[in-house]
Amino acid sequence: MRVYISASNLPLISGKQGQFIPKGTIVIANVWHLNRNCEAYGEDAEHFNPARHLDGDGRVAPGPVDTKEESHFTYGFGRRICVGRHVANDSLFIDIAMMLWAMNIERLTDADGKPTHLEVDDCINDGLVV
Amino acid sequence: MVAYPETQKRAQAELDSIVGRDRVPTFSDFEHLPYIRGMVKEALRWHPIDPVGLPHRVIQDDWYKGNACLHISLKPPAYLW
Repeated sequence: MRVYISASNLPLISGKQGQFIPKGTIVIANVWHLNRNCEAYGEDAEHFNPARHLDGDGRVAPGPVDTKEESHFTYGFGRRICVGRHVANDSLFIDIAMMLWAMNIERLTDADGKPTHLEVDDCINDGLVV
Repeated sequence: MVAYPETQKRAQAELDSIVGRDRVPTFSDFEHLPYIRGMVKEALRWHPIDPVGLPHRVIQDDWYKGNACLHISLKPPAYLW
């Protein structure tokens, strides 16, 4: 619920018609919804698929101009887009490359050697996770 | 990685072919590791750290999908403090 609570309870401005927004209105974007829009990302928008960001030749495809070519809305948009996005992108790039170069990330196995149950949407709110 | 192991395998195949085992990846490999770069985008898209972003405040009357652009300010609402 911590993660998904934002997916449904924000009032939405319809994209189909004009909407008057009075001065002083607080505007909150539903980034989660934008990032999982099936019209933009296809029917597998709910799934993790890095290849969706590549073109037919295996190169990184330019993202939509509206996203400053990020291909998602996590950094915000427009003039106020996250100023640290390049640092974040570079950090994630080298972190992911280093980790996957150095190790395999695998599911836990039980006493019988079978992979334990995995629930992608679960979260751990306390304690130490190693 | 544990939910989508096939993506890990593909990323590691890319690392093996471009970087190999004799050195660690560096930023000079950036252009040659498109799938890793796709992973960065996809990780941020799939599970955004902040799924509602930062609140913005409209600094003047405006129309969405009307005949004017949104003019937005980063001034945070009072309830954040």
